[in-house]
Amino acid sequence: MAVKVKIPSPLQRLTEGKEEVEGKPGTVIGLLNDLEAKFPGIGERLSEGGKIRRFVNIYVNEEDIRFLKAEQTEVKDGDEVSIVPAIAGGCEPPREGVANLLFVENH
Amino acid sequence: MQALSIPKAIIDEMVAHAKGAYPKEACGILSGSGDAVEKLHRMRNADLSSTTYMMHPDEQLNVMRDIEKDGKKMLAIYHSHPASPAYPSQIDINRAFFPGTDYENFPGTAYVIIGLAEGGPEIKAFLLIGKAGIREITIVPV
Ligand SMILES: [Zn+2]
Repeated sequence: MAVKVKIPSPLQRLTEGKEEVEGKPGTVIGLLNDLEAKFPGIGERLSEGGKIRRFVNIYVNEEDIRFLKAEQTEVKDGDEVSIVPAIAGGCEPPREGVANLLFVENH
Repeated sequence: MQALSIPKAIIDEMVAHAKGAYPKEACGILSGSGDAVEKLHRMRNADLSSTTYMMHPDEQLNVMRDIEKDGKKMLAIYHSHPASPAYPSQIDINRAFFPGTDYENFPGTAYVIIGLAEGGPEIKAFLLIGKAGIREITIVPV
């Protein structure tokens, strides 16, 4: 029994379309480094300089690792790690010039 | 998805949520089947801000799991613009894609914005496809 890792849709193109892959027990950051070895490119999407990127939520058994030991959170066989993009946004108006690049189609 | 049908009671609840959170941004999830919204999930804005929102991470996972367990889909993500029109901001666009990529975070999920600027509330729905691609879709009140 390994660690189950749930991959979000936008990263499934890096895991050959797989929604779930096997992870290595140890720490979260160790698991991510191991994933990078198996699925090149996935590591840099998830972390930078050993830190999880902003707006990427990582859960161990449904608990956000920010409230555990962050990157050093322990994962063991049978645990489930879920990688989920944060749902976020805001309301600052588009910067000058950006609006011109937008493709707008009304129905 | 060309249109999103939303029960009037849910539209009213979104507006009430947006007004209740004012001047902070409100956020939530609409779930259902096909193009038909059936349920509103109010979410906590972890940012407690009037210019940004981020769903509370634990709440987000729980609600996404509940929707999946019910055999439903996350059809839309809603949030309010306390003082600006119901149109995606640059921040909305940036955060709709996985960090550093142009891969949509939630393919097929619409973004509903409740604009509370003067003359509001106005409610519009959009799909954010590919970097900086905004497509408005019709909201059909039912
Ligand atoms: Zn916004």
